[in-house]
Amino acid sequence: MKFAQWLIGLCCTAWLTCAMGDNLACGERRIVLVSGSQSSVQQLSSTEVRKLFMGFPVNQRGQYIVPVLNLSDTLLYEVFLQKVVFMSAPSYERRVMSRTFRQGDARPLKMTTQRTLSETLHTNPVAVSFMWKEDAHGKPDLKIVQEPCRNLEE
Amino acid sequence: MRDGIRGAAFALTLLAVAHAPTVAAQNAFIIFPEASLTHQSVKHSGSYEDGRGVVGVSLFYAYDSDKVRFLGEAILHTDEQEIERLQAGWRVQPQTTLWLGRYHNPLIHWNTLFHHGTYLQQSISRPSITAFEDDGGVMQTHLTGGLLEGAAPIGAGELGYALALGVGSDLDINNTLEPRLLFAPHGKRTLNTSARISYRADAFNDNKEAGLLFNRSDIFSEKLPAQDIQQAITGGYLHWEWKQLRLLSAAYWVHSVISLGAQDTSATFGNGYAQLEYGGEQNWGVFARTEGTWGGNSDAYLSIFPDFVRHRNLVGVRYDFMRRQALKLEISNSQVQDGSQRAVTLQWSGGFPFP
Repeated sequence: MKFAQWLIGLCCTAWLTCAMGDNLACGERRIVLVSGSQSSVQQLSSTEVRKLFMGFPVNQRGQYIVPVLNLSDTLLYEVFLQKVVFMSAPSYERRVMSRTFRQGDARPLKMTTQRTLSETLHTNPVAVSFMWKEDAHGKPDLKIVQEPCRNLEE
Repeated sequence: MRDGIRGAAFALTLLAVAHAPTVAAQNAFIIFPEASLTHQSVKHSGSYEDGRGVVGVSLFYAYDSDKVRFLGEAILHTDEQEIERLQAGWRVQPQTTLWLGRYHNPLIHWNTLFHHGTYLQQSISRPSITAFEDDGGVMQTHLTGGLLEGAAPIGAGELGYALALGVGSDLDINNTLEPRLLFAPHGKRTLNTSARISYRADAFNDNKEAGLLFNRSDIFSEKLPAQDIQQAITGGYLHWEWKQLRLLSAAYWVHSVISLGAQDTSATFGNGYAQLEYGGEQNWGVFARTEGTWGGNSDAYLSIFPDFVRHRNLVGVRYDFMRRQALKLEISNSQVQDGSQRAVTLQWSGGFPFP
């Protein structure tokens, strides 16, 4: 009996943890992929976004897209790892480093403040980064090129 | 040879610098430091024990723009300093690049995966068949010339290929393979051709891949009477990841024809390895590897390399800490042509990318 109670408790805890985690990533605070509003980058598929941030070259209309990591928010980066590249931080960083070392492919750029991120997206017409959807909405100089959570719902 | 490498470095650096940076141009710099301590017990032509330490760093630089690419790798170790890779490339298509320069032979897939970045491999040592020339390797690991590398998507996976045509190595007076450059003043410039064709089940995962390998080359020897060895190598590899387990394996068949005046002598030996790793994304990991050689005792080419490890079994443990550093311990038992050796190695290594 005690074991059954313990098992039910464990399942409930696991379900709650998953549900809360999903709510964090795809609930009120959703992650979106953005570029500058004047950017030539068009809508991207989830596969293209994953490919881009894993260090693979992604070409759109003859131009190579530049991935930019938004490291200004720790929680946002965790959600990016969970919903966009589907791996842990050490694994992701090691794989990107391996790919660069193996084939010389460029590493994603890193921005640690919102100000430098905005400047990069504004000045680089092929740059793509990620942020919270609520942060992207109020900014006319940005456009959303992919919504990982919308794909999950569809 | 050092003058040749300096000349190539200068020419390729000029090429990279001359190309005006574009908005998409990016640079990457990675440092792989390492420090190792080895204690070994050797039993051939007398028995002895000794210990040695190696400290060093591998420096890597890459420049990547829309079309033009450049990469270089140099090692600075207490026992060796050398430019290992120096390549300028033209991206023909998103996943296809034509490289010119000095590069690692695509025949040896272990080196394509890890190059000189010890931190990236789970084990400390590499299989003996993949050893670099100056470490007593029996295969030509460095080529200078052209390399076409690419991949095409097939469903969720991809078909990869590499075609290499370049100058390989000569066998010097000490019976060591010595890589040559196109414009090296000495040696005989014999062409080496290699091909690799591979299938990756998941385009994003290097650890679900199988491939076939081919090579044809002539090796000029400064010591043998006829000064020529014709070699044909075929092989295959399988890298597979399943949950926390990863298998790295390969097998090669090396056919050599050595010209001895009026008569030729030919022989074939096989070599293979299988390394099983457990750990995945955990901080702790364990690994074991077995290596073997078949037909080596009657192979005239292999007898030129008495220190080549023909059989080896090893086990080890790896601990990752502070995100980009690893501590490894490896215990091995090896057999060479006329004896055996046991070794215990402790190594610290790291991988630090900039920016």
